[in-house]
Amino acid sequence: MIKTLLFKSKFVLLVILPIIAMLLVRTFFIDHFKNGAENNAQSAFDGSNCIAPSDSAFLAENSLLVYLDHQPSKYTNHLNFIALNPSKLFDMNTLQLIKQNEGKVILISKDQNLTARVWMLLAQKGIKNIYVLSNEAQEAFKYQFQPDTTLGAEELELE
Amino acid sequence: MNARQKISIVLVLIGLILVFLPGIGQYSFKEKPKALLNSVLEDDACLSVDQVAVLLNNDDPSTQLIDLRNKEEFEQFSIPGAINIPIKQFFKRKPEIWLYNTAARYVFYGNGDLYSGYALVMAQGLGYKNCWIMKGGLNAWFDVVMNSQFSGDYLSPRENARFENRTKAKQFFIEINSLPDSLKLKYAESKRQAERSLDGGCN
Repeated sequence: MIKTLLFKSKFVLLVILPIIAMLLVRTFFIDHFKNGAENNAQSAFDGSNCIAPSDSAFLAENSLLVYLDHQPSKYTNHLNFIALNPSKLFDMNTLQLIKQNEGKVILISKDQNLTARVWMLLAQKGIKNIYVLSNEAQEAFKYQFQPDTTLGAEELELE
Repeated sequence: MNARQKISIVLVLIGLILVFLPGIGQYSFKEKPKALLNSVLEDDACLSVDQVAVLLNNDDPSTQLIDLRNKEEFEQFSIPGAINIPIKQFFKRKPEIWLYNTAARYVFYGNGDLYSGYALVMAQGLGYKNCWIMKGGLNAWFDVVMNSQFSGDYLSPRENARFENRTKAKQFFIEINSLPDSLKLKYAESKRQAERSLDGGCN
């Protein structure tokens, strides 16, 4: 009976098991980004990935503050923080720490561009609870531009 | 072939599809995570506003500025020569419709640093390596170029060159953005032709 069973399950052993193995390897062991780049980045385009320092989520106990380019000094009361060198972002320990955090993971940097880049990289890995510390959900222009209304086509010598 | 065998074959085919094909209807990053991380963290990925001003003044034909702000903000003013692709639209479809020229240098900017940072990672992740950002965005442009002032008695040659570069870019910015839309394109083209004839180039 065992021989019959083994004979009948040859197809399963030779074909289906390798496919299942390949699927598991592709899902869990190969280092790649999550499919669907646009969906992964959606919260960046509508600003819902930003948290202001005044937001209550920022100082919540289960929030993890990730300092990207400096050591924390101002919010020393918040104990749940790490200082992370961005070049080590995809180290296994770092990713595990971020994924396992129950609350929000908030990226903090003096350079907003660095924060944005790190955020996008993590979002494309499928990590959902990542936020950027920013006072402006949508980028605000800080100056005023006054056009020179004295300029006309004649002054500019347009043909 | 009995029913069980047919079902098995179908399941095998589905499994092979799941293994080898990406999500249908979605584009996904092509780059490996660590390679992309190294690429976007390089200092070379950023251009300063002075470098963009030089490209603007030299009318570098290989550079294309991409303004990621919304349409209303773009229509108020923009860096001359920039095209407007609001960030929400930029990645609704595959960026190849915007970034089709592999020989060009695409420079993203917004009001600040967030939009350009997102766009840089998205573009490079999708395989478009010829993308850069203008560091600081328009806030930095105004801070450095538009509000540039000479103070003191002496400028070193280097400082003088930088100041002249900023002044020229500032002048161009004001002239272009003071025009009604219908004349903006016409002016930019006529200015380029005037400079080419002064240099002795072809019209």
